[in-house]
Amino acid sequence: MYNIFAILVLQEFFSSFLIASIVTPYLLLQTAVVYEDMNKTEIVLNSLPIKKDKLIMARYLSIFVYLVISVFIYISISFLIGIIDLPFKVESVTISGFVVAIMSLGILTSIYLPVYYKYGYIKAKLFHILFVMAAFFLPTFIVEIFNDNPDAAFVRSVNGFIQSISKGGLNLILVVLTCLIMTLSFFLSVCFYKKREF
Amino acid sequence: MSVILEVNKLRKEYKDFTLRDISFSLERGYIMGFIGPNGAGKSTTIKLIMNLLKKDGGTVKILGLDSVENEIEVKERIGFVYDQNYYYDELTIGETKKVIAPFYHQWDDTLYNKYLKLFDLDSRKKIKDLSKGIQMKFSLTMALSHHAELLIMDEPTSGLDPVVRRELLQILMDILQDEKKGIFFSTHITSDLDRVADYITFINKGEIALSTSKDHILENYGIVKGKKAFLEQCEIENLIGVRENRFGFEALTKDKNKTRKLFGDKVIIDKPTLEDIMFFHIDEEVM
Repeated sequence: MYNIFAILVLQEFFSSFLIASIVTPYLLLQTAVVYEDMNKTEIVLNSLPIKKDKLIMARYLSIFVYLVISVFIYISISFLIGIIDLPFKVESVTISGFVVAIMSLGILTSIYLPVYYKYGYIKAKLFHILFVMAAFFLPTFIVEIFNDNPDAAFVRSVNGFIQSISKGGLNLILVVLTCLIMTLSFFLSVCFYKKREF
Repeated sequence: MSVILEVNKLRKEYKDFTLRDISFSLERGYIMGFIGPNGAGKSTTIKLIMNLLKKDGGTVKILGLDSVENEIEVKERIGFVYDQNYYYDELTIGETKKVIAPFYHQWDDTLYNKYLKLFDLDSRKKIKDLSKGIQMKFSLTMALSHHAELLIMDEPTSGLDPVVRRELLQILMDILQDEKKGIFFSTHITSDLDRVADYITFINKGEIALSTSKDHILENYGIVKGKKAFLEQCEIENLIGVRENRFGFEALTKDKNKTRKLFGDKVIIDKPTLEDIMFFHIDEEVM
């Protein structure tokens, strides 16, 4: 439903694909966390014969499952809109867009989940607003810094590096960087969760 | 391996409560009832056994294995039933089983279906739509469907009506027919233990007050009632929770034969229930 909303209403203001591929999976992650908190299911999960790091790994991987599902739904809706010929412009899915989605989701998850595993759902909720705002405004803010300071040494070296590699290479680097960040976040989450009591 | 659960000097410290030197053991083929008043430390002890809490001292051995070092292997072989439902209540019984079953190598669908039929559970029903008694039966089904050797239950009968409670207790007794399993369950409903327990461990304010067989309690414990004068004249040993009133005193004795020799016919010694034993221990007036 949120993907439909993004296409029909929010596309004037934001990239509907980015909303569908970042916000929707993140909301799904939050929903899963809420259900676990409501039912205190962590008590059952930690009573089962499974190591805590596997439980955490499943949570990290689930975000990509939600991403795939969300993108699939987005593509299906765009296809339907195309067939029915509704008067809505639907942003197409590109590899770069997908990579940006993976990176944004990866960073969001990498920040949120260690906080969740350390403090639990209720306290982590306080950080939630900050995370969502950062996801929306930080990329724009960074781009503005780059545009306002084209002669800064750092900006020039980054621009030079980006121009020297192919688009495919850049996408690969971003995905690898995201994986590294998520790996570090995973180990932090494991460290916190092993100390948690239920 | 005869000893199925062995807890030795278990310790857990909180700001305003300490679980101190908790020690008891349970052999295969028996039910141990873990009783105590509210806030005594029953659930804390069970959570320490299940590794849901980190212990500050002591050891827990289940089936001869350390519960922390061999956590996965131990959890494969034990079943758990908690005092309330902690499964996803939006899922149906069938969906929950599909989530939980793959965690256990020894999961047995034949056994699962047998208990489903025995407890008359409908796989299509959502957990949240089940009554408390049915939720408990469902939890028991999940606990028994992977050939668990030890069943750990935290107040499984609380909130249940007497009919369902009795039904559940009968099921527990039937489970022990093969004498290979053990059941450890906590409760504050002493009548449940009167009915099914072989061993009783009583905890009060974070410490074990007694841990012995129910037969030993029935043979040796007694409620002593008599005149106050006897308390003043004699040195009394083994009296617990002495209560005095205008007419006399009553207390619990750990050795009624010895007490009978001391007082003779001058006192009445009644058979105590487990509730009486808990009642007298709570006062902590030991002479």
